[in-house]
Amino acid sequence: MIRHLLTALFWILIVSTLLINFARWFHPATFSEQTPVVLLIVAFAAYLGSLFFQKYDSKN
Amino acid sequence: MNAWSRALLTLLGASILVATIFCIPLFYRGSRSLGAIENIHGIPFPKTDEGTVVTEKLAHADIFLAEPVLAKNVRLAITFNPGNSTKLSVGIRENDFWLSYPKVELYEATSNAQPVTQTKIISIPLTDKLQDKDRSIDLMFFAENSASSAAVDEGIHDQTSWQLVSLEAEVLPTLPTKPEFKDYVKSILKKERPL
Repeated sequence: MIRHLLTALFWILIVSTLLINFARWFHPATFSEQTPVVLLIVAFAAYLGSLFFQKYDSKN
Repeated sequence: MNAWSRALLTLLGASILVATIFCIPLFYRGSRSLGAIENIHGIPFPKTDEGTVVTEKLAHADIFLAEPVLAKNVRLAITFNPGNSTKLSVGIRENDFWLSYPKVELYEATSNAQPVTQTKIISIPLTDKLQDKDRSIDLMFFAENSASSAAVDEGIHDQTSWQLVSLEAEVLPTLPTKPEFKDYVKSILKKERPL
């Protein structure tokens, strides 16, 4: 269950990063420069988490 | 759940997240830092113990915001000595034209009155103002004196002399009017940038 949630979160964060970068391409002041970077870092953490739970599920 | 529903749900979740991230700064408030007071060529005016001595008709400063200009007001607390100015105004840049500053009057000389140091607090709506990519907005002071001509830059013939003792900028959330909101949306769609 947690693994699915983390995978969903990963994809939501990736799509959000794309949307924010698109908005910044229109008008750079709409979002700060750091926002897409922070989202990518959290997405990477969600990806690692889902990998961890995948291994955990396969062991049990 | 098939692949299309998953993709749509992901897009919906991402849109909600992006909207939330955009909306949180709308409630930000507080004082914001200011750049140096400089002339239109970017050369800073000299600073003394009593403040900055402005010797040209136009004096510019950046206000560094931490949020988009949407639904924001800036409250400026300006302490100044008008010196030889007959009129002093301030404005925030509105569009990509370099001199698009709607002026708000700070001071107008009356006959016989001696120039004294005074403080004025003014509030300017920001929603329809031009924001640079570093999120700064442009502030400009306009001074007029009895010897000034219509030229924007009078060079060495400029006799302007007034003193900016202190300048503070505070950002406050506010509800934008319909034309201001239209201007904001238009500036995003037109990808408006300072020239």
